[in-house]
Amino acid sequence: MLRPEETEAISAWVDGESSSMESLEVEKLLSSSAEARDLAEVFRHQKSLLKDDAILQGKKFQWKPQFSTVSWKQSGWSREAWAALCASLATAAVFAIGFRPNTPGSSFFAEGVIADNQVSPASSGFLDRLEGQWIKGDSESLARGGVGRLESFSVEVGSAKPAEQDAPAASRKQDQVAHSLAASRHAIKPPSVVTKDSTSASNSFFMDQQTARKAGESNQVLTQNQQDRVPVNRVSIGDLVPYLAAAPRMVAVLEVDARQPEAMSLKVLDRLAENSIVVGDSAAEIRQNQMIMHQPVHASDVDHQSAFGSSENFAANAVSSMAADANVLDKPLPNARPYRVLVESPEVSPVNEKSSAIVAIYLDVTKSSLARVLTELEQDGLLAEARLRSPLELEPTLELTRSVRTPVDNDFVADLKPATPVAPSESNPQIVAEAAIAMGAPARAGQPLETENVQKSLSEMQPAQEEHFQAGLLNLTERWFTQQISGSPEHGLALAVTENQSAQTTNSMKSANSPERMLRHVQNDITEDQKPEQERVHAPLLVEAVPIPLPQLNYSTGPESGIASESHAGLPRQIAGMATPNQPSLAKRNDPQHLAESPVAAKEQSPSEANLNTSSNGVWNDQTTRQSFALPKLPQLDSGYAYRQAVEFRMPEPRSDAYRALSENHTQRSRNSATMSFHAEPSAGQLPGSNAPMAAALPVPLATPLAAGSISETISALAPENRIFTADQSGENSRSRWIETTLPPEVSDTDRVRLLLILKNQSAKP
Amino acid sequence: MQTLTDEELIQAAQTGHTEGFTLLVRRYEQRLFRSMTRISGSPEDAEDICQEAFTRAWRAISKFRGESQFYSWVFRIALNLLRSSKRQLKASVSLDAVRDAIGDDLEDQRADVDPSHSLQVRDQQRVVQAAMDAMEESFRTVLVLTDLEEMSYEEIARVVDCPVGTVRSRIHRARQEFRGRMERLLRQEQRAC
Repeated sequence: MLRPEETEAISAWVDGESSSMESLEVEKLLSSSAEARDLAEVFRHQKSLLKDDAILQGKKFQWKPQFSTVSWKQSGWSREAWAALCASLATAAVFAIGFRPNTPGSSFFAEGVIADNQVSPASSGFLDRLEGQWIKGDSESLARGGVGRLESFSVEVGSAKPAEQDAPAASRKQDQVAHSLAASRHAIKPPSVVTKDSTSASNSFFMDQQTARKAGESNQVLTQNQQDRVPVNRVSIGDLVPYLAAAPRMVAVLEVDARQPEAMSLKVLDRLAENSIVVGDSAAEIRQNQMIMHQPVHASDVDHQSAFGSSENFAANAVSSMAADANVLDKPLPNARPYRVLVESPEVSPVNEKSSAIVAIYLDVTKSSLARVLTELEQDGLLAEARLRSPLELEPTLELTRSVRTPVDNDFVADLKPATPVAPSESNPQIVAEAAIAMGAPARAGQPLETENVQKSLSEMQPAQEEHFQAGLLNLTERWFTQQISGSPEHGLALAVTENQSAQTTNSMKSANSPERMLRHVQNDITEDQKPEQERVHAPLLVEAVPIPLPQLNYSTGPESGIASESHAGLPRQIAGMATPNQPSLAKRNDPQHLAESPVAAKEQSPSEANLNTSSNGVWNDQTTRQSFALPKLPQLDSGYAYRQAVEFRMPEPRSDAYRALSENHTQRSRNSATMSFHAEPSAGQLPGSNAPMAAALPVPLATPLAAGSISETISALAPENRIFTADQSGENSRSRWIETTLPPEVSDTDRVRLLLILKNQSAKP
Repeated sequence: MQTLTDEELIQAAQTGHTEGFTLLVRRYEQRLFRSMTRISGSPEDAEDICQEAFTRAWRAISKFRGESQFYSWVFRIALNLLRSSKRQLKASVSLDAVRDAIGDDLEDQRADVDPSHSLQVRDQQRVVQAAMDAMEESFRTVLVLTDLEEMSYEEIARVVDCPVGTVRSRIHRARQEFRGRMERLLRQEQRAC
């Protein structure tokens, strides 16, 4: 019988951790004792058992969506998820926080952003290739109903090579057969996005709830049929880690679960107000917040409609046979303002309760405010899922704070931010060529387009835009170079690059958006997070004044769609997005009835808002944080809260409770502000009809309760090139409104996180 | 292309070159996942833990001073996450459930040439994992670190933050307990047959 000391010595001996003296003793013991030999053999066998990977059942570690409620298997987000989100907020420059419609055929996509992507690390573990899909066509083009094209790309470190060429995005007016055929290939809309394989599917972007559930169970993609083929998004922080080197700017997507868009919009706006992110409806607020509020119901091409017998007006858009995966983008409109957002969703049958009305809110906020808002929204159950979007956006194609102009050759270069490492003209011609190849060949003229939402053929696409995006890819490639090469001299990151390239790109690493600076801000944020709120210095995030690539969405909101008519009346409060009685604050604040009775309820309920006031010169002051704001003052940023917001939401149906509540809210806000009065011009006669071109759209009143002055004053208060633009294109029988506001460029600051909140009428169940 | 050492990559990551951290993650993610799966008993939980551990490591990479190996550092982060996770409490596998899952295939432990070998190996591994799950977490950890990770006692001591002598005795006791639990499990299986 072995003594414990002896068995322990044998155990250590098996591990090779015995001293020489002890080893001699153990070997002596082994030679003399069969029990000792058996024990040593048992220990060895145990080691082999534990080394066996069968327990993994072939499973390998894969990054999964950090913020997916499915993956976390809980209704809310964990603290870790939030911490990770905050970390990503600290490093990301651009965030698109949006809602992913859960019905097949509906989708959201941001222009200039990769629609689907995956990372293909090399066997060495180093990220050497990036594959994905993007929607080719800038936001302006797509927003105007221009041609978009979903293309695959493949970019390797130091090179770019063409990926498979995909079917072009289809015209909206494709017949059913053509559409179905096209749907089997890559399309601009998610249902047609064919995932390459299970791996890529796990990294794809779109998913519905059913898919999410299934993905949570099996991490597989639901592909019953083409109509329902909805790739599953599996982009996580882990996925973003490799991207950090490639693109300092990341786009994060938070998915918002909003069951009743009108009510959700009120809730969200309320939450924003509570967090000092007030959606402005006055000139001063607009100056501060850069509000964009519109409903993407645009129709301008009468001929086009008549030719195909259907309306482009979403508000009046009837259900078509292609409803399931119809994408409806706006018509091309001359002189259309840049920030139209296309909302994409399946056309909704009156009998189909799964409507997909979307409310989107774009914000420019500080991280702390954003975190608070998101926390509260999550607590309210409005945020269903958070996803980090690929950061592989190109240089933004639009300036949110400026008027959009038609891109010209090298226009992209002209818009490059300081972080842009190398201008294409300075770059290696080979890179340019490869980048251009990677973009894929332009569509052939007359080539049938796939989705309904695209109104023009690729042949109509402006060549300048082609250049625009090619330059974008070039920039992306060069970023890779920059990031990779910059580490070479100091850290030995060996890459196959030329000295010339290295010289070009190393200098660019000293740009304002360098990782070092990012990291510094991460640390600052972490430090700030650890402080009590009173001691926090609300330093703005390190974000360049980058135009946010507004997403193109389309959705149907007309009476026939059954969306807008789905007011929360008659629905359970929770389904209607209203607070339940056990949510007193919400119930009080968001109940339209309550708001109607007490229009100032929202403000009364908002302590933080009580600290906000607007000075006579319209500068927004946040008294709470002002005293602790210690950073050097920036123009138009005295308070640190000169939020620039771009808000888009669908106006509630007139005469609905939500509409009344919103109107009351607007009225009260205008009333409460001595200097902030929204000037709406009651120029209904100028309203463009539902089919009128956007060029004819003139500033129009938002709503009667908001009419408190002249909108021309608002316009004149803005810079000439930054005027508010409002359009109601459907006249009296439509609730559609489209408002566009731009701010003077000087309002722009480089320290904001841009946020897109998109709320969606998820599934109005009876 | 030369292979960069951990130290070089850490240095790169600390100076903001995120690709350095990316490479570190790629280098160790599967290894950490495997060990965490052994300790937690659940690949799903291990995946969450690994992901969070790397995320935290990234956030704290600037504070990493190189006093230990990067992997040891990340492992310790993951271990702390595992300990603080409520799911750890549910990681134990019911022996009945294991028995139900295993069925009657465990008698022949030498089924190397059996066509259903792979299946039996999986079943065997379920028993192994059941035995592991029934042990204390500290025992599981040291067993994984020494048998799976093949760390030295000194490294293990740094990870689990205890003296080397304690590690040695703990490993010994863990092995003895693991052996006893395995034997009991197999006896139960035989009786069930």
